[in-house]
Amino acid sequence: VNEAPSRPLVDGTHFVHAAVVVRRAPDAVLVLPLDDRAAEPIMLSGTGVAMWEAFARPSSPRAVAATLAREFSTDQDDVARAIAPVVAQLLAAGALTEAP
Amino acid sequence: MTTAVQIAAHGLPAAPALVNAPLERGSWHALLQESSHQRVTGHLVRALADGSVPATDEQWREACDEHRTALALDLVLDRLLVSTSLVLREAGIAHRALKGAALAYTVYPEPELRSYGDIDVLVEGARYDDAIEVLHADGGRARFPEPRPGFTRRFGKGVCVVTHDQLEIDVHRTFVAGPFGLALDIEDLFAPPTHVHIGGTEIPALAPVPRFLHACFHAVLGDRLPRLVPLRDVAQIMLTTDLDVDAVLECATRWRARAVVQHAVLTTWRVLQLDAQHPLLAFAHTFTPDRFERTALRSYVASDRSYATQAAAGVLALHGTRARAAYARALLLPQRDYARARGGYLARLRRSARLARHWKQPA
Repeated sequence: VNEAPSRPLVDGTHFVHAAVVVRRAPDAVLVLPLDDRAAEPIMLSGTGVAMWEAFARPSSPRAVAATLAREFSTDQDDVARAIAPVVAQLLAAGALTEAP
Repeated sequence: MTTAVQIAAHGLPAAPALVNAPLERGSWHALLQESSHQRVTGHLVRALADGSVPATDEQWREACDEHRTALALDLVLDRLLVSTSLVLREAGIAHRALKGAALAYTVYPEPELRSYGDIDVLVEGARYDDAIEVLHADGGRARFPEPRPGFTRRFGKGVCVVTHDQLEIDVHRTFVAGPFGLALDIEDLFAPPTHVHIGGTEIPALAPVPRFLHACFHAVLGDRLPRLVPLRDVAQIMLTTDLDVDAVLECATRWRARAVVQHAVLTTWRVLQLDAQHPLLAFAHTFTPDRFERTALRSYVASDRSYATQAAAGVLALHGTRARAAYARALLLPQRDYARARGGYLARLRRSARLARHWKQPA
């Protein structure tokens, strides 16, 4: 997450897709969408773990960035830029889904 | 020195104590390698995290790396279990998930503590061939041919289906090959299931009593040297769930499998070095198996055991001359593909002659 390039945030409200399996390691969360039988597990570490937990309830990336910025005492825009590509990847993989 | 056995028992009531200083490099790598091989990295990481096993930062990172690798495979196998269950459900085939995820999600406080290497699904015997057919249509292939067409549906343990990406689905008709697999009452296995929820899909799994009995079968009738995870499963169910001991013994009696429970419980307590009391432990210390159970158990646990000795002992569990004749005929005169996969007809005939002498007068 920290090394992600700058990119606009994905709009909308998202949450964890029901058809996802998850395992928690001490330093990471591993996520696998069930709908794509060829997909590899996605590993989220560092602030990516907190980001994943934040999407347990429908949230916008901006709201999640604000939460993480408060939690890690850092700049909200920096966090927003960092999580944008990860959110996009999780949406593309089907691990996150658009809230109705 | 901390061993993988101690790691496998970590967190259980009355588990053995662990060391109180970080391991030196060689011992650490031996422990890490064995924990990974035995699929107990979840317990290893837990023991490191709660300070039961002191570790350096480097050791902690290495343990987490190994654990993540195991967890990634667990996820892929969960997906395979879900897709397999949906395929079977679509075909209207009754089935139950066995061990692996079915235990990880039900008897462990977190699924991360129970890793696995394949998936196991029990299907109803009457639709067994249909199950294999739909899994073939879904991209799988059976690893070995049957001795004769219809043998598995009637007598066999099951077959291993390998998926296009080399994952394994053990498709069971019963728990094990041989006498104990033939003696158990299959209808008990399809009693109302325990449901496991994986990724929003409801997967039927065994009810608690057959689930525990299967854990016992798996712990001591499978590998020559019992593996640690199945032993932990036995202890985990006994010591952390509300197991109905009377129902277990009633069912084991009907299945003529009390000796399996006895052997599994005693082996679990001995290998994991447990010091906890349990009513089934008291049973195990006093029970005397009957002649069938002694003879059957020997075919699984004796030093000269083999698939062939278990298959031969299976005759003892069958009722009726016709069933015995059909069983013996299939094993003595299998179809050509089956014999070729196991060394050819001559090798089989020699083994058959040896077994016929051995089993002529069962103890």
